[in-house]
Amino acid sequence: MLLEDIRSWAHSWLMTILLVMIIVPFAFWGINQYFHGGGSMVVAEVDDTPIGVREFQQALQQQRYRLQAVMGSGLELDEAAEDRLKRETLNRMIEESVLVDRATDKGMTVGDEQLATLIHAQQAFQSNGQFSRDRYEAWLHRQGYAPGGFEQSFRRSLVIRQLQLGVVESAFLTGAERERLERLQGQRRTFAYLTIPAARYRAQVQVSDEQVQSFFREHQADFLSPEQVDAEYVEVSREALAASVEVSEEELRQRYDSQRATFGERSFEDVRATLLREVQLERSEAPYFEQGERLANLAFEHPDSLEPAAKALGLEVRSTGFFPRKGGEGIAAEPRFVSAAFGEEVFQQGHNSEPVELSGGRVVVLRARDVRPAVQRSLDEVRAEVVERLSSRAATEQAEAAARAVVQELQGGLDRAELARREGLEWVEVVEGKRRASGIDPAITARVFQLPKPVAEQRVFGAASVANGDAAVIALQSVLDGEPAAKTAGAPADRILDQAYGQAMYDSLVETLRAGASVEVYNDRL
Amino acid sequence: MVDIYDSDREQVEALRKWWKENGKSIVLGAGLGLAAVFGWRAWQDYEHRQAATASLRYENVLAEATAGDRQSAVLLGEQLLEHHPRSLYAGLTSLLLARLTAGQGDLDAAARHLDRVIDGAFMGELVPAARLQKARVLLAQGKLDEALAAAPADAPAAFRAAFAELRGDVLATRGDTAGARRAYLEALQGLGEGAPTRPLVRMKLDDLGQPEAGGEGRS
Repeated sequence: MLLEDIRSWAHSWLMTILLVMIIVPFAFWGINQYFHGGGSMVVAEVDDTPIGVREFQQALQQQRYRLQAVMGSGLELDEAAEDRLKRETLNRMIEESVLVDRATDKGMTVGDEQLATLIHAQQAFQSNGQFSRDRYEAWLHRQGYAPGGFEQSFRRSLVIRQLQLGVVESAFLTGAERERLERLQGQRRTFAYLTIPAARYRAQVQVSDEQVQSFFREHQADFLSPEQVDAEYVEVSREALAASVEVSEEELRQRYDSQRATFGERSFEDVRATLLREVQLERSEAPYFEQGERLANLAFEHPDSLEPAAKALGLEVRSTGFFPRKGGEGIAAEPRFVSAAFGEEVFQQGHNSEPVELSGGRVVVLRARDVRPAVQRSLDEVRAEVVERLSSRAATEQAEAAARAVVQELQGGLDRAELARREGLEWVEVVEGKRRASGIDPAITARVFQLPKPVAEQRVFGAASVANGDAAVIALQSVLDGEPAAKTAGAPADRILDQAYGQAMYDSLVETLRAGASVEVYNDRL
Repeated sequence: MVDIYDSDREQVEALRKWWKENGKSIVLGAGLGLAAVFGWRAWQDYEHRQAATASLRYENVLAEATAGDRQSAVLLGEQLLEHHPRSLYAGLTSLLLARLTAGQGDLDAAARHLDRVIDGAFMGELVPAARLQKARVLLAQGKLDEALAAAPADAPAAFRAAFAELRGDVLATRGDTAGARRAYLEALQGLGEGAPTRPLVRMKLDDLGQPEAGGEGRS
């Protein structure tokens, strides 16, 4: 009875409304809302917006590709560099998240049509000057984007660009300010300098045993013997494989005949060696890759020895002798070999390395035969080095003191030429020197441009410490301001200074926004 | 259930009675709810369309401004301000208009555009940027006291160095070398090694002159 009643009731309009009320929300919010969010792996949260592990890994990978594009594909990062890369990547993602959240919160967006127009305009997605959907989709696939993923991240980057460009482009200097900076940038100064060499005071320097001891105590970390490793390795070499390829005379003749046109007047004997090498290199390609792969597999299957790999491939295990992180000789001079030798797998765990490709068609697997950790050296071992450092420091200090004393004498009226005679040194004259002058120590130029301007043709004197430990005395004669650029309003050159201030303003804005966001980073998930 | 109701019929009767009493308010509630949902969606759609239009307009202003067509950029910018006065795009456009009008030599107009950002509720974090630019305008107008007041020492941390540099500019203009030197030094301390304006501030400081055997404070 009850069921029957309910059935008839269900046909009534009331029931329809009730059903609509239940169904409508699903249509609006989408079923995925029920399954998304919460719990999944997150590397950081920015004002409750999560940054997922997957997104982070993807960004990190892209960053690696970018680095490889710049530094060469052989790029291998040590642990510290890898860690820095992770931090920088995460930092950038956090910054982006803050910017996008704030901007969209304040109503910034890029509409669908606008987005489509901009995607269509990307050269990478065009063929024959037209947007190609195939190209676009192939690209998305290659980059590993989920459907809609690229559009979303592109939209985000466009919003950030709007904010950035708007702020960077809106900074401006007023006319007087710009002129002042242009005068300063183009300023030239006429001066002379003479160098008082520290070597002069070297002989007089006395270093006491107490000084040596206390310097050693304070700088112990400077006196560690470097970590060293003695590596053994198995090498598959394309060159060696090529040399063992046997080619018959007949075959070489045939090849000569078939390519005759390219050799012109030259006889078979003339080009025999070239032809032989050509054939050998061709024939060695397949075995090279095959042996390389076998080496990799065998070294992986027997991580604690290279013998099985060497035996199976008929190669010998060679060793380098001890070498430090900065590299040794022969194969130990190859940066990729060194970085593998000091990598965690080899240096710390004592296992075979991954295969390492070296220049000139070589692939090696290596392991540590022996390692020498960094050891504190004793004072007796390093005494000479300590004395040397203390003496050169003392000599520099004396040269600097002499330069200051000379400056006072010059200020007191001593003649420049007479001073040079007395000291047996020579003035170097610089006429209208620029801020960035080649051939002059930057410390001297920096000091020259810091000195007060001469008044009433009175030279101004100063001292500077030069990078190699010597000291310099400067006599500034005159200052000539640069000419402000002709007033070409709106010219690109006109905007360079503005943009420096614009960038600074944008950096400050980003920093402020970031300081205002609550950021939580889960370090253990990086 | 069986304990309470004698039969199915009685149950249905009870339900009917309940519906009679509450039906009207349920239908009304559902109607209101639906209206609210649809209304909210419609409003959001509208907002979104408006934002997308403002965004497109803003892109056009940016394009003209970076291409160097001031006249056209100002015109488009003013249209944006008129149609989307409360959008953040209006805030960013005001900053751009300040630059463009200052470039045309109209410092008063530049100041008005900046005031809109300083007073307006576009985005609090943009206010110090606008104040910095306003202080530049005031300096150019020769209103040194007002310029100093617009670049106070208690700015938000990230803007402190820029404000200090500007105070240095004002003090140097005034002939207060010692004060200018202090301000530039403060700016340098606040700027990171890679900051784009660092070499410029350094240059301004150096130009004030630093005599031999003299402390930073002497002139």
